[in-house]
Amino acid sequence: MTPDPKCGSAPPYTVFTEPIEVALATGESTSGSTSHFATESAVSGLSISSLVRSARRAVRQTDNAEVVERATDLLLTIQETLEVFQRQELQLSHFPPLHAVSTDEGSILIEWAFSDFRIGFSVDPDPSDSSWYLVSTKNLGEIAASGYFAGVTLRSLVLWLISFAVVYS
Amino acid sequence: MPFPENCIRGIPNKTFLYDDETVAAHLFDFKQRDARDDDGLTEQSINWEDDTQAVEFTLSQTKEDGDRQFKAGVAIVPRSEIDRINKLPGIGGDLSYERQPLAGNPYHGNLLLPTDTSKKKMRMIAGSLALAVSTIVSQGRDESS
Repeated sequence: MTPDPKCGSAPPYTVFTEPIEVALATGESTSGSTSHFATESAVSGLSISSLVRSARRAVRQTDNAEVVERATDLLLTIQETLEVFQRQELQLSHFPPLHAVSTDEGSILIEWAFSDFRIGFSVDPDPSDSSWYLVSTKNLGEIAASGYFAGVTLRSLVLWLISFAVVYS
Repeated sequence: MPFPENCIRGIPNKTFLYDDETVAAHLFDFKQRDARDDDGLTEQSINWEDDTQAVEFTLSQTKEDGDRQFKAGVAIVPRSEIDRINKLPGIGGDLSYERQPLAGNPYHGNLLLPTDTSKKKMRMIAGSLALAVSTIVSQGRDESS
């Protein structure tokens, strides 16, 4: 999957996906690749599950079992990806918790609200409507990117979005 | 009448709030039931902050049963942010706004989006608007405090 952010101006950033993919494949950090990221080591004691706990609770309260299942799978993918980042000693202690809400159109919105950007996932009753977005303030290049889940490897999408969050939060 | 600096979006309840400073994006969802028949646009109710009373007026709005309409307060969105969002390539000028004074509500207006906008794009716009919120004013507190 090739991320395709549509920006109002030239983005002041570069998103590195290859180094993280290499680290995931080998299961160990590769020097020179992780140096692109924050050099502080992760604060010990951060519970990744605490970042997704509230969202998982909210998802379980939704009526549509199929939507719940897909949203739960998504949250699990997010959690597993965060755990990989944590094992790579990347700084995650400042990450806000994920939120999930049921909308009155039957979908579940999972959102991550940072101060300068937001990442959102909408899990819809019709899977072909399920989509994601990444939007940012002017400070961070006025990003307005979105896409559908269909045709995308969810793990790759989540990896790309969390990579962005790690670098720019 | 020119548009003021800010618009006001009422927050019906706490499910639209993540914390005191952050609204959920679905506060700015454009809903199918609000699609207009005559011009191909879907509207989303706002009030315009035309004067110093507008926020308090919005906080005081009640439903037919007398309950407060916006139990969790209001979100203030700068109009300059709406204009900025609208210029982004991914949005392409689709977002607009209008005045629509109502009996008993001279501040009323709407954000507008073409009804045939994809859900994906609508959600991205909703997320952008939520990110653009400058202030949340809760019930029992006004902007000056």
